[in-house]
Amino acid sequence: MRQWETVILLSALCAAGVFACTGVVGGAADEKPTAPTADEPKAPLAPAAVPSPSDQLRRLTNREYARTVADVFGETPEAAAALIPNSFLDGYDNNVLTLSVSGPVIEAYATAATIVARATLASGARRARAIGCDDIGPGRVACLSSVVDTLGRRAFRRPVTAEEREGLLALANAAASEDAPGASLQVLLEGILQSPSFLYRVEVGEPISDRPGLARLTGFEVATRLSYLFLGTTPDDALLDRAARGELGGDAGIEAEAQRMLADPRAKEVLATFHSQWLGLQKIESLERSLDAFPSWSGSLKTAMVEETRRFVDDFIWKDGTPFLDLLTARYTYVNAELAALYGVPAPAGEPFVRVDFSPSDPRGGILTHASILNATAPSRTLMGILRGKFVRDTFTCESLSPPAGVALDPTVERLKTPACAGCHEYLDPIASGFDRFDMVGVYRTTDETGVPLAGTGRIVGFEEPDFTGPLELAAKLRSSPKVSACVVEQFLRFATGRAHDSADRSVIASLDSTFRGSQFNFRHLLVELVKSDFYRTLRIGTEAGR
Amino acid sequence: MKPFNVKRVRLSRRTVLRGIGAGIALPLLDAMLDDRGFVFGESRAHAAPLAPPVRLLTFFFPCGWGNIDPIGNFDAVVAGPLAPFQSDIVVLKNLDKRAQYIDDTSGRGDAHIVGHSTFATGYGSVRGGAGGPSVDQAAAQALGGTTRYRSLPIGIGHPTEPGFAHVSWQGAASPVPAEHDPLKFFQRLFGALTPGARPLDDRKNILDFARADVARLQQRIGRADRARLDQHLTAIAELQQALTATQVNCQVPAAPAADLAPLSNERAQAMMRLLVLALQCDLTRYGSVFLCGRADSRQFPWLAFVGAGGAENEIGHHGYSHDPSVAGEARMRAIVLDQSKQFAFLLKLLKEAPEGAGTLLDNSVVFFTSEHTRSFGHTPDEMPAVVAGRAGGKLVTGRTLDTAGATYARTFVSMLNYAGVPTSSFGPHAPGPLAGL
Repeated sequence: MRQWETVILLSALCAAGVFACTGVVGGAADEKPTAPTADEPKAPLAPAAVPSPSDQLRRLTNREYARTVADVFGETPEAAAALIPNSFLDGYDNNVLTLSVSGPVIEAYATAATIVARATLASGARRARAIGCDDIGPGRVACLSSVVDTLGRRAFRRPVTAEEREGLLALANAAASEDAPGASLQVLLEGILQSPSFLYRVEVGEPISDRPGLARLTGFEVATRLSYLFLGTTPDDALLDRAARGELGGDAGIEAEAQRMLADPRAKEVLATFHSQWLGLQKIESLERSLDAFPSWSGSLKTAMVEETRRFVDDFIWKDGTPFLDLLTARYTYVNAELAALYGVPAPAGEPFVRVDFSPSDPRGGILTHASILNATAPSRTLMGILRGKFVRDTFTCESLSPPAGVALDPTVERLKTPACAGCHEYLDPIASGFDRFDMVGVYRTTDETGVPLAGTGRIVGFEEPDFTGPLELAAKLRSSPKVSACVVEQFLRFATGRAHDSADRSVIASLDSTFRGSQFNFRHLLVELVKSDFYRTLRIGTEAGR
Repeated sequence: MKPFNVKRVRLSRRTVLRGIGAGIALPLLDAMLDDRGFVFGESRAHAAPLAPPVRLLTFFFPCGWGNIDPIGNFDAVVAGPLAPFQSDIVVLKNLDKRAQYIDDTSGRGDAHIVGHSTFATGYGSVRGGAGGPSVDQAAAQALGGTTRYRSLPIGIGHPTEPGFAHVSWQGAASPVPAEHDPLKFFQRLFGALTPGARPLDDRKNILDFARADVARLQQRIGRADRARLDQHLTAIAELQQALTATQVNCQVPAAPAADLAPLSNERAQAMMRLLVLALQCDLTRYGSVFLCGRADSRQFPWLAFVGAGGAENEIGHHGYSHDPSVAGEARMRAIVLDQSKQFAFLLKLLKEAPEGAGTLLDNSVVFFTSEHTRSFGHTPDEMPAVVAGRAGGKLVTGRTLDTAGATYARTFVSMLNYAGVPTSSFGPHAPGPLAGL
């Protein structure tokens, strides 16, 4: 299947309607599709109407906003609660396309700014930490000026310009009155919090003379990228100082910084956000099951399955000498009593979560048999027979197939026996059927609800030896496939850059993948190599005509 | 229609023309018009009657009209919850949005993303949502500059899968998020009038600073991001507008209860009460009502089938909508009727609000339907819909229009025309108005 390399595009009749079945398979968002087989009619697929954005302006996600506010002004959860929730695209909630602004978004920022400024000034301890001077009396002018310089630098992640200082001080002075002596600071803080230099991660860079369309990130911009990538928050004073001294201009400085950050406990939180979104675990929160059909289901089970996966995947990032891709095949997991009952393993005594090792005859092992994955991919019985296959393609081979738009889906149609439907579904459903000995909740069984035996045999089309029985055999195939490590690189790149990759990024993925393999799939090594790369320190600024 | 029983207050012509009263306890337009619909202070010899503005709203519920007999379910809605409004609505049958459904470059191929993207637009779907603005936002962009809020989209609880979270779009892939919290909504609308509100000048100055700061930044970055900051500038301008037009022309209502459950009809009704009050007081003229997105597992415990999974063993609206059995269809009919009752509640509020010589509903044009016709099939043909309100007397209601497969989004060109936007098309899928509407 050579054409698998780019895009599957089938046009066909299925059930009641005419449709085109499209999907990006290992290709980039900006690439034109080609038909996979000569005998399938071709249909045009218009390029996406929204162009791939430049890298220059990423609005903070609500998570980043909350952490940044906490670091610069002090913990203010009620401010973050006032913001408009973020949306997911391509698996992640930090995609720049979803971070557009509108009236309600900006109004929410204004509300949040008022809340943060009030909370900062209302508490003596917080005020001392964030402000550190007296704005009433003879020291007023000096105090306001120092707030602009120190707090402004933290908030803007670079020194405040003369023009900005002038604007902020004018704003503060206009609010001064005898009735409200603290008003100057209040509006000054709000002005900082509503500045685009706070709300966006602004990257302008410095043009590179022999590389039109590209710019080199400044030291402050590198510091900001690193800090948000590894710690999920704004750079602290010490990091900004190192940036100012030019210590982030070369490989050694960046590597040292990356290693320092990876040793910070906050890095664990950020990377847990990555792997939770990579695996689509946010879908579990809204899942509800019929207790008649699934007596083992409960709200606490949902929490437990997410925790299990988090603990498990963390091992393959943070335990030295643990190849990341072993998360597919490792024959152990972490359970609490409720999960132990679901999995049919001995319940832990005492500790809420303990490691259990599966016996060689146990059908479980690796991430694919986690209850979290089995549930997140099974919103309904029919969809389970498709989505478990789609999950494997999306998550591990980055071959993303989607249902056709504008088609009448008919649940009574046998998808694999109807040629038009089979064109796409043969890539999905036979993978899912390899999971059929695990029900929607993740309980192992050998027959279905009506007593019909379930074989658990599956097929992953496109692999050299596509047939398998059960998730364990599938996991072994994935573990040795070159597609999978490249896909992990690509997934992390989506999270790190806040956008889907395009054709210009292809060589970057290939090169990082080669590094990843060379390190025996050392995930932290991959991250360090990514941030040291020319790609990560360079900015796409568009052509001169576009500027 | 109720007779006027409010005491009129004379306003200066200048005040009237600015559209701002001074804390007067009655709806704006009644304060501005005399009994014959003339503006106070106008010389009768020269004055033309000041027509109330036409309000434009959309009302959305997800997951289609059913599986076995979706059109029968729709007819039951018209004959049931909408019966009191027969003379106020146009029933549309047989609209077709197949071409719009297929125009999908979202890269997702998800029928619900497509459904949300096409519900109120003349565009297909792109990465990040609808391919262009929705009808409420198009009206707001063309005409909404004079009120405190350009538009007020509302909902009842953020969908837990945010990809399906919007039906109001200001442009391609650019949603205008709905307000989902009654207390926050109340605070936004009426908070400036509550004690302890801070000096207006400070808030204006902060926005002036932010605006100048955005404009400064715009000079330093590339074109794609400049467009993004244009949206930011527009949003700040909206907020400034909200501040300068801050005096509300009607009584501040009691705050809504704090314990209205997310996704409940009580919450929907509290939100709609505030929205209609905002329309009455001319705080906005455009908006949308969004009864949640598809993936919310919304369970409707008040409909007595709580806890029972469908044939699919999936609980909640989306799962129920994918159950084509007879029992599943009974459930879908109950849901469709329940959701339509909320639409009827909105119409009731609009109709109970006197305005000029008629009611607020007379001066509105409101669009109502679900994402698609048949739920499991996600079918975009034979679409039924309702357009309610007389658009200030221009739209003839009390009739059914079989459109015989006319392009769905043409409805929006007609609605824009009725609202006073003289456009002949609305995106690639609305090449003209809907014949007969």
